[in-house]
Amino acid sequence: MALEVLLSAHNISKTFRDGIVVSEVLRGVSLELAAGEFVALVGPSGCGKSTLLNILGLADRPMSGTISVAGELLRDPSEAKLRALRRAKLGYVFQHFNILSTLSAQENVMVPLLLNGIAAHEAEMRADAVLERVGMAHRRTAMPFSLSGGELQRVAIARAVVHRPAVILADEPTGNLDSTAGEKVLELLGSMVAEGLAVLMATHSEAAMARCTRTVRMKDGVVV
Amino acid sequence: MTAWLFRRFVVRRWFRNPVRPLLMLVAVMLATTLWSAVLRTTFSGVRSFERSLGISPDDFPVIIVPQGGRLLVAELGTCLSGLSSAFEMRAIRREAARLITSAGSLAVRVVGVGGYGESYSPTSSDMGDSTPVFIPAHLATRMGLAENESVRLDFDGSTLVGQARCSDAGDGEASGTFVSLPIAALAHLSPSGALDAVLVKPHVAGNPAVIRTQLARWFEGCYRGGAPLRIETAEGRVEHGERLLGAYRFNVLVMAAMTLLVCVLLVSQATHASLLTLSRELSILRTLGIGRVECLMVVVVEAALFGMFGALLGITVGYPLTLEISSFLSGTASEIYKLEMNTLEGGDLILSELGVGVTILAVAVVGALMGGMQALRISPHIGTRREFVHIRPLMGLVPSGVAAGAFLIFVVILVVALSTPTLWGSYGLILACVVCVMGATPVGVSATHRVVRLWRSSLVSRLASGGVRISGRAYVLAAMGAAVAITLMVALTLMVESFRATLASWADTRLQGDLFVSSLVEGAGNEGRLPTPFVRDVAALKGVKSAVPYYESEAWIGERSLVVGGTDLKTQAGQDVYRLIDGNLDLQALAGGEACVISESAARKLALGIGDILEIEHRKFSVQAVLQEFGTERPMALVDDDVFLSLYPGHRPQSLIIYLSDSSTIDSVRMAVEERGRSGIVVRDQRELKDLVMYLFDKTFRVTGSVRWIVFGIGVLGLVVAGLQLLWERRREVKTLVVIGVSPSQVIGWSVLEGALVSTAAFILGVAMGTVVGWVLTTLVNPLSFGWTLEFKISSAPVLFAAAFVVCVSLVLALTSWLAMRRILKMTTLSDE
Repeated sequence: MALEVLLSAHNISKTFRDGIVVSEVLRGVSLELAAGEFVALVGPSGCGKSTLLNILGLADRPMSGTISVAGELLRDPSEAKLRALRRAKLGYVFQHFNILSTLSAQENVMVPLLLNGIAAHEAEMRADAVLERVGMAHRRTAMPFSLSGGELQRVAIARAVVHRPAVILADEPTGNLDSTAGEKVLELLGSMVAEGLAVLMATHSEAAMARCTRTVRMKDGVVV
Repeated sequence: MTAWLFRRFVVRRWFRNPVRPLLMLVAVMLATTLWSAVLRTTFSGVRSFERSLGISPDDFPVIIVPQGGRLLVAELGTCLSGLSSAFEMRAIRREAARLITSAGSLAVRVVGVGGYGESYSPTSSDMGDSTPVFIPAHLATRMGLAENESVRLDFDGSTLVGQARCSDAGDGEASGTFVSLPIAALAHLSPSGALDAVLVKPHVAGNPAVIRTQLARWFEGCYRGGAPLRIETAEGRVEHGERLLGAYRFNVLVMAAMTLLVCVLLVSQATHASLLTLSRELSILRTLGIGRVECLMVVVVEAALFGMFGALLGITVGYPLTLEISSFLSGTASEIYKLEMNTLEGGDLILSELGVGVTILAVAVVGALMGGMQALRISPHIGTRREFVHIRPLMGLVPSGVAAGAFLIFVVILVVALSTPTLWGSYGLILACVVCVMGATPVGVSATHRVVRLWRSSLVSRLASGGVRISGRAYVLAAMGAAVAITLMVALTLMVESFRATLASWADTRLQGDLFVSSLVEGAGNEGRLPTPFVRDVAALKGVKSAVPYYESEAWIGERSLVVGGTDLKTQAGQDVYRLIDGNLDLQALAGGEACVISESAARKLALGIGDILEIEHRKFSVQAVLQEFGTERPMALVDDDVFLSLYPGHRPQSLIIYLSDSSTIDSVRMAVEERGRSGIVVRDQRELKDLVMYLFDKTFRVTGSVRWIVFGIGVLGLVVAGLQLLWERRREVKTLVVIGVSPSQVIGWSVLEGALVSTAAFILGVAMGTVVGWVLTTLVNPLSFGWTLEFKISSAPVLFAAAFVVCVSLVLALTSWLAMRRILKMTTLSDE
């Protein structure tokens, strides 16, 4: 039985213009991500990994090509439509954590739930449960400035999965962590995959690649 | 190194995000504009006073001034001619604006001169070659005139042919740019002309006090101009003027100082916010080896640059605004003393602008040091270890002990000020209030995040709550400025509203009568007089039940002047027009001339109480009652009209109150009165007079309105700068939020809610402390300063005004956040630092 395709991109192109200089960052990239897949996106710096992640994460728009999320083909979607899909179907983990400095660990994790209309009380309980799972329950009231890098990334993962998205997009999630913290993060992501989510992770790490079910290599804006 | 750092880290950021530097520049420019206008106005005021008081007591030790109206030239001519045979003296005319004219291409102002032992008569026809025309030597040179040469001056409708006396010797006034004429020549050219004062220099040896008495008797005996004369010394006039000038300077400088304080806080906040933006980079540079002082210098140099450019712009923009602000200020001052605003001299302009530049530079640097001291504490590890700078929570930063300490100081000063009320004690209390507000602001700002957390299910409220909790420090200085601004706004509004309400209530009681008649000649203390036959005619008019004249003169109690009023107390008391603060009206004693009623101002300033004896014109009166009186801030004594006329025989009424019989109509009687008064009187009904009272009050306090709007603008600007700066500082978080599904409107809502929370804290503190300051101004400062007890009224106006502040901050922040969001959303990558 074929696994359900949760995220697919077909013939994606993207160029950036800086004055008269035009850079073609992505050139006809196609990619599919099925439930239970843990895909590593690798390639040298500047090959277009982060741009592809931004486009697949609906944070940026391609110049051409189509994207489907959870079976829904997106044809010139409105900003509101993209926002709704980002809220419900996608989760993000960033290299620089991007934790909201003004909210506690628990509140950071609650953000996607509140955005999806979950009542505050239930959101708190679900956030606590996920924090428990990532080993951060004891720090749930801590403010971000008092957390270490590994702890911040675990909060970020909790935030990415708390609303049970279809796909998690991770941009070098272990890039700023030591090997122990990195291992822990990869373990967490792996456990999410086991529950039927799909994870697309841009990485340079051999150890990270070793944990993935598939590796997609990019070079000069194309999948090789 | 500092210069290198500055170019790389600060200047480049200006171009990347021009909103913050532009807003900072606008803030400094606004401060400069205000400060420049205030300083120029002060200088103008000083020069104007100096001009009006520019008389050396040695040159003219005696000054004759009218107690209402002006001195008539024709009358004076007779007096001075006779006087010159007994005293060698001079008389000069001042402010002869109506006679400014031209002689050829030269502007000439005529200054009357009398005396020098020569006798001139206003009726003489010696306006020929022999009439001396005193011309300063330098002016004579320009006019090409030699000594004793025939001079021809063309005036409005008159021509004077005289003999040039080209010398400056012995005539201080003639050393200016004005031609001086004998008083008789002046009378010939303008028989209906009038003088503001006559300055007299007797060339006889003797005791000045004796000469003064002799001169007073002489003029009282011969002058028939209508208005009684007062003889005063030049020293006294200078002293009086300087006292007024001192009060004027003080008030202007207090307003400017408050503005500057808010500006220091604004610059400080902007610098602090700038430091937050730079902290990570500076921290990395600290790792690489730069020193703490260099970190500080970067922000201080930025503030100094803004100080310089802002000062230049502010001085340029401020120039046209100067006249506007001057007119506001002179709105108050004109009731006390007429000020000319175009009296700045070249040196003053340079001095004032230099002063403005130095002050603003100092404000910018002090503000930068206040806001940038944290630069000294930037550790090398911060930027390298973390993605964002650790901002210490507000409550941890400002211990509540600071607020408690400020409050304790306030309570101590309050107790002292209330137990022994003095003017300086009251000012100290106001200062303590301001310190208290500043001390309490951090705690207030910190408290708001707890309140908004009650709204738990809203993401925006959680973001705003966390934002205030964590980034409150970036808001605190702006919030302090806003709280001080609101305190000032509320206090001024409450004081003015209380004053207005008390005055309106007083006018309802005091201004009984159907019609009020006064002379057409009005002005600061220059009300004309009504002819006695006119008063008799009006009283006899059909439909007039009674016509009550009011007389006014001036007496001296030691060195203080006392307004002496006279009216038909029986009729007026029958109408219940007097609000007594103390004592009772014994009409029999008042009619008998044994007693008088005094104003509250007289009771306070002359330290008089019920039963005390007041001596007016060598006659003793027992103080019978103290009444509420807003007609004048000067001490006033009221006696029965017959008693007044026995003190000042032949004195004419200043105004007339007409009560109509039931059968008559106001319009018909008004027409009849106006017909009898021809064009020389003004007739108002009760409504018109009350409206005039309120109009004059509003005009006088127009300046407080302008001050309120100025601090309003600066306060709003401060909070908006802080809000925008924080939004930009959090741009990565904003981008993250947008990526995970937060809408731009929610992000804007976050920014607006934070601004609204902080401004609400400033609002609550400002309204609370502004009410206290308003109470101090109304119930302590006013009685001590003006001698008026005002009823303190709490009204909704200041609260609405302060609430408008919160709304305005929110709206401006919404608009500017929307603009900032457009830039942030264009950022392409989430790892953008």
